[in-house]
Amino acid sequence: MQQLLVIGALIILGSLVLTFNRSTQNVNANNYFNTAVIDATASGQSIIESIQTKAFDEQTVLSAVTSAGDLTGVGSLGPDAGESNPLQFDDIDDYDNYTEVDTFQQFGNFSVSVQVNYVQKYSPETISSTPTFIKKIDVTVTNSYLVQPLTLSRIISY
Amino acid sequence: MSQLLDIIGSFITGATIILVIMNLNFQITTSQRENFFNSISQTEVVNFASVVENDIYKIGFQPSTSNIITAATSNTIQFYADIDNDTTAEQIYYTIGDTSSLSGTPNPHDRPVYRRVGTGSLNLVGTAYSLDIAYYDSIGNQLQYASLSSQSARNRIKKISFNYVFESPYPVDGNYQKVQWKKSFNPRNLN
Repeated sequence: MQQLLVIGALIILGSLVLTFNRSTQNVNANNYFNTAVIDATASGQSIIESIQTKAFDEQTVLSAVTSAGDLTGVGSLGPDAGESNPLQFDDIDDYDNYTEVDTFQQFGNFSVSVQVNYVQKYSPETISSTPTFIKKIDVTVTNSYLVQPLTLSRIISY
Repeated sequence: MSQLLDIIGSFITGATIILVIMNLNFQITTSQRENFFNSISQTEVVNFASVVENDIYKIGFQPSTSNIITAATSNTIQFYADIDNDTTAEQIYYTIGDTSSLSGTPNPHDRPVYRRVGTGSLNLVGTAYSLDIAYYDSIGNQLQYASLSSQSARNRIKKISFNYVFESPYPVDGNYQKVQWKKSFNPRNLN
């Protein structure tokens, strides 16, 4: 009988230890996630900062445009001829489908990818199938410590 | 004989349970300390980032001179910005102190980061394991620190990059909690 009580006590103690370990792991994962979000946000904001210093469109780099139809076509968004890296990019949509890796000490590599689309004037969440005077930049940052990719968006109007 | 075996067995079982409980207690304490310092580290970094972001975005706002950035080294920056929106630009200065300035903490690497507005006194805005500031021109090339001693070179700065690493003042399990914040700024008034 006494042996059974001891075994029962050990099982209870064992489950307590396992529960505590699981709880500690969850808290640690949460802490890592929070810190990774700080890094990912800074990384995403940095690239948005760079993008928004560029011209609105290839057609507006040197001159003004009065009709949305004169802007770069939806299918032509992306780097223009002779542009292969950010030092050569001169307008916002050159960053469409651009990717880079940002390295941090604690969590290693953060993959940053950029999407640029025209969006509808009165519904900036909706991608437009024709050029408009509003572009939406979506920057998605992924890292193994992030539970899910972090996406930052910025709307730029001409 | 069987009684002796019972006594020895119960002694071993009891000792094992006490060891397990002591170990659990130690783990709980360590975990709590780790979480506590992790939260502090994150808060420190976010607070520092908020102060820096507020100032850096306003670089060159309503300046009375064309020389907006008046000092630029790897861990010091001084610039004009109207941070209180009173139409007069203040001179803002950031620098990092020595490890000896924070000799009161067990961490041998942490250093104070100071901020000064105008001719006021240096205020502590955070502590840092390291603070590296890099400067870039209009086409994205990093400007050499040696060249930034001249005002004409500083006037070419269009992008400023901060790499700030915070380390907790107290160790947990012999390790200091480290949190990094790295961000590039393209202040509107420089571009």
